[in-house]
Amino acid sequence: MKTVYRKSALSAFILFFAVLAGLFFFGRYPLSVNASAEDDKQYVYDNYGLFSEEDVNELTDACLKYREEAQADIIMITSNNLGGKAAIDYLEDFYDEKGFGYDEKFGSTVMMLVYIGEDRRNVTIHGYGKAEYYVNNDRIEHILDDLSPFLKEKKYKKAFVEFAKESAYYMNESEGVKEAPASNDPDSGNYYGESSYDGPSNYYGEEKESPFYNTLVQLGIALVIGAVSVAVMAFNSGGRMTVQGKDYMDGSNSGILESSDDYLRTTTTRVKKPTPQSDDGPRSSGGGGVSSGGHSHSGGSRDF
Amino acid sequence: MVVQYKCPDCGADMAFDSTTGTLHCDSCGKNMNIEEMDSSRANGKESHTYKNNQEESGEAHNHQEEVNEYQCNNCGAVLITDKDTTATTCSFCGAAVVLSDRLSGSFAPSLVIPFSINKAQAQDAFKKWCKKGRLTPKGFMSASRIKSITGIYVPFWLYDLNGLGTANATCTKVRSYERGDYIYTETDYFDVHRKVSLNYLKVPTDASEKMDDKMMDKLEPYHYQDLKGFQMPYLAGYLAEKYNYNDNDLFHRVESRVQQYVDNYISQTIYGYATTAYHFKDINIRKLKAEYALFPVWMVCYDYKQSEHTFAMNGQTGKIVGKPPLSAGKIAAWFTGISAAAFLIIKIIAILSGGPIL
Repeated sequence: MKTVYRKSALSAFILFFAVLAGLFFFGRYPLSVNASAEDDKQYVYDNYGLFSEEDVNELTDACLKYREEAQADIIMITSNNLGGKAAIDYLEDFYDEKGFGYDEKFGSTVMMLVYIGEDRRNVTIHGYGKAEYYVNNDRIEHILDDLSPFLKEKKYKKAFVEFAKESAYYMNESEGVKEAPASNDPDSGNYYGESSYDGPSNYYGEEKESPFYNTLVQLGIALVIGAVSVAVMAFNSGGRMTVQGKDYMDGSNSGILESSDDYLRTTTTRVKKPTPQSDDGPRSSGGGGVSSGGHSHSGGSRDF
Repeated sequence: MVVQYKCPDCGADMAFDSTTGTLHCDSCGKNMNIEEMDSSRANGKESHTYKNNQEESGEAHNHQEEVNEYQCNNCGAVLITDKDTTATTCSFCGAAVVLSDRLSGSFAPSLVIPFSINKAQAQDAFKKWCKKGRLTPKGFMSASRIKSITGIYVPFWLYDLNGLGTANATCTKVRSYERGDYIYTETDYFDVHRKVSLNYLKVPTDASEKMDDKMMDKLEPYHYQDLKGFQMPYLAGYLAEKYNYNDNDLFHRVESRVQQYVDNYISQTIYGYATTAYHFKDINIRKLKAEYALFPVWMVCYDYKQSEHTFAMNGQTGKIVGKPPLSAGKIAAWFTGISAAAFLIIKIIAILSGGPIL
């Protein structure tokens, strides 16, 4: 009788945690359904020849992985010759030509171009489709802040992977974003890539994330609560001590004989008020616009 | 000296009845009020113990320390007792007997709380309690496995104590306010002094070495409105023990307990402060009086899966203590259930406060 009971309870217990674990892992990394069909699609255009074949494969893997997370194409381009065009025009034309998008032509895409010319070295990022809002100009500036040190040290591969990772993060981070229509006027402060700014985002979210939001931590807390509750139940199953001092106290013959509360001194300390997180407003290097094919995008660019 | 109670009407053995609180004769139904017997005790003693023979009592008295042999006045069988037994039943004829010489002199109890729960009630209450146990195995109470249920008067010392406590502490009150660009924190320091004198009445401490101290402590509270002056007839039909430790032997136990009480009291008198740091504390417990009392306890022996479990029930209030067997299955089920519920609640709180779903 007892063993049967134990076995069924045990299996229920195991099943419960298996389901939890399943939810946890598959929820995080949804299985890709259309990856195989898109295997021939090119994500890395190493026109400059910065990378070995192995590097290109690794970068392509990163594109594929973060593409699923971002629900947007992630495109990496290197070049030493833009054919006389500005980087912004080069990327717009490239998008018009290839028609990138996650689940549709001309859909959500984040592109990064590293141009290494004789005259200058420059990095440009554009966001199309949904990415125009989620990877807006302000956020692109934050990405560029993070990429600059890598690029300066010629760690191009690392910079591209970081770009893919942060793009995917911002595509899923809605704090500080509103999907507002943009104005056609570049000076309005509400231009393409600027209109969606809605206060500071949760930049670098992964570092700031409270441990309380981690499912494993939550599970751990829950298990501790369960264990403590059962331990208390088991401990108290034999009855507990319920009498207190006042139950035996002779109230009429007990009391305080002496009592004094003498003021001694006061000490005062002061600390400067913490300055509230300053909101410097949106940043933008003015890289948004509309391609000749009529596709609006956010953008940002920086020399390194 | 063996004392037995015979019904004056029919001569059958009488025993204490917890329902009526009187001596009861099973054969003719006569009830005798014990407190009334008390008034006629001096001259009535002979009639209650008329079978007592002077020679026998003298013999028992001489060998009080070594000899544990008493004979039933009814059937002459040897009463099986150990050195601490003060009341028992004849294992041969079932008559209730009280060994009065073990209840005299320094071993004379001054107070008693008679049983108010009888054997059948105790059995029922115990079965109910077993079923209620959230972690007890399902089969625990499916069959009647009570091996024995015994009503015992357990010896207790009731201490009247005075606790004198002195404490000095430095306490602080903290308040903070903002002015300009600064946050000011003002801490006021106080020198706090307290002296309390607390009297505690009838704090019980179990004086039998056979009984588990922790178990007996958990049986409290006993309600003292039923406390009666000791009369031997209250023991008739039950087992009773005499104390193994005198009031001085046990003082350290009650002392540490009451020290805790005084300590709690002092800390309750210091309030309204943010922090309290004691730098002097002295608690002195003085014994004012110790009385020897017998408290009613039902001891239940219970067989489950080849091992014996012992439980104790307060014979006055019905409170049960003792370690029941625990079911691994039920523990796992409760653990899983509580953990899952807690996880769900934490998850919901996390999501509501802006966390991710996974």
